[in-house]
Amino acid sequence: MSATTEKQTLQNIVPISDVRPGRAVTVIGKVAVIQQAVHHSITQKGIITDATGAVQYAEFGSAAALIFRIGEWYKFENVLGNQYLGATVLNITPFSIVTPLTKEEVPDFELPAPTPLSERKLGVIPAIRAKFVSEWESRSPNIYQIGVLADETAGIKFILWNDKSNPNQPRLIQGKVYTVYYPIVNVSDGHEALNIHSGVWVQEDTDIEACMTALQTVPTTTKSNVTVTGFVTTILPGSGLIYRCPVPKCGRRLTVGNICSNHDYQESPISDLRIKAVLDDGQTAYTVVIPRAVTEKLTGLTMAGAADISARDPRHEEAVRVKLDQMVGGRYLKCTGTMLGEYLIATDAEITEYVPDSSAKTLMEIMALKQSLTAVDPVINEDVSE
Amino acid sequence: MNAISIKRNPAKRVFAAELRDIRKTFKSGNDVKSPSFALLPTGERANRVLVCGILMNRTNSDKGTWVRANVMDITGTFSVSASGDFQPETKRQLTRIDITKLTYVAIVGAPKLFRPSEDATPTVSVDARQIYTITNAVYSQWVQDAAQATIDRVKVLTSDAETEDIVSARDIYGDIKPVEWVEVARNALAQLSQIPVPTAQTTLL
Repeated sequence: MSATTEKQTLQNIVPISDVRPGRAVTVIGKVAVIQQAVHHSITQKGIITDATGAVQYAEFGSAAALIFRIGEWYKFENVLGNQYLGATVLNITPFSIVTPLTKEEVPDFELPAPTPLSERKLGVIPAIRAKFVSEWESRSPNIYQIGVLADETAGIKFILWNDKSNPNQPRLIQGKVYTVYYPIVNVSDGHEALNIHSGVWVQEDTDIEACMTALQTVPTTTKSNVTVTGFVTTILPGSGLIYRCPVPKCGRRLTVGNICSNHDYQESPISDLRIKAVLDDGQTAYTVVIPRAVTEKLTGLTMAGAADISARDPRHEEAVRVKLDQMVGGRYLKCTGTMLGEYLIATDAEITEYVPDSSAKTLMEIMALKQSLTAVDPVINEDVSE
Repeated sequence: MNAISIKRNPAKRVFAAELRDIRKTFKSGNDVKSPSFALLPTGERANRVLVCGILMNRTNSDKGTWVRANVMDITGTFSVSASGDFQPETKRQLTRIDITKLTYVAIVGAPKLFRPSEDATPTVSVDARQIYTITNAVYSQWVQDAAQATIDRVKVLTSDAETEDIVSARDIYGDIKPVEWVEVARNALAQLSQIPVPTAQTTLL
């Protein structure tokens, strides 16, 4: 390589802390964490780091991909800074060139110093030092541990995801202090969570004064007897004839092939009928779940009727959803029920019929508004012209 | 912290007259998942709109990748389109509707702005995500709903409220008097009793 080309390449190299959305850059970094890529267009993803910071990367659609290895250094040429769910990320595109560094090229690197939790931003934090103050019960098989981590400045909910490839996945011990490397802050259900990676931590012998005041609890808002009237804009997938997991207290909807996401294959699923619809009142789009009894009352379609439609149509269960879409979709609907987070679980639902005289109230409002507007109109015009 | 929550945006009830006058669309952030909005002349942002009317003038594109049609409500007409690549089911539904009859439809879609050249007047088109054939009773319900929503927006627009959208709307749509939208809503309600009942024999031409 000649001196000039080497210089040109070096000019474009930026420290990872300077990666910004919308800019193509070249970075040199160590692969610190490899995450499981769940989306079909992403070939691999993880976190890279250098002396200045750490950032999530995702590689898109190159079939002949270089498979990255943890702890190895690479030069990432022409990678694109982007923003994903509020955090800055790095996209490795088909136009990017990734080359492993030789031993001589690897720069000096020390593990990052902890950042106070109060200074967290969405995205990767290089390191935190925090105490495991309380552990919550995991309600999902995908969550290995869930609880609260707190340092001197703030506390935050953390999630340690289940690593299915590792049967001896290490656990965090409550009451101990850890330096956790490269956790990712994101927002789920409107609450911040710290996603930590299996084993990427060091247990400390010291104890710290954990801050408990700043900790946000995670309440699920439940409001009973809510009535929403709106337009049914969509009958969502998962409406119609569905099959549920027969394991007690599970009852999850099975996916194709009678697979429960928790309990795998089920021999004798329980069939059920329901509507999941988007009910839109013009201000909020509610997701309404209408259980079997209310669905039957609303539509007149029974379980037997749904099973019959399903059996006669090559689209099977989808045909039931289409049928419900024809009956309920594109209508004004009044739903009463319990608000669970963002869902309205209906205990009653009825199609609202057109009442010709009901626009009288609107007409009166219109008259009043017109009168007041015509009176103040010159003033408004003045405002506009300024 | 700029927390992003992915929530379904409500479908704003908008009359054709107001929809046609949209002159600004924007993205609410620079995140990959930031939704885009159209700024309604009455000073509210709309990611989705719920519009109803009679379907007419349907055309297919040369290669059949999208369908375009006009929808006429009580206040005017506007154009809707559905792409076979992105909304195959919606496109199929739009294609199936018999336009030789007066068919009322309800469309949930995203308002888009097309500007053929820099100084040309932009045209508004609704990118349909859902389409339903509806009865004229549902259409009448929607007219009441849209009239109420329109005057609710005008009330906020003409109050002392200074939201980002209202300031922006006063700047862009300053030459339209808010009272005109009240008039649109009033006319729509006044014509409610004259809404024709669709019959099989009625044709548009």
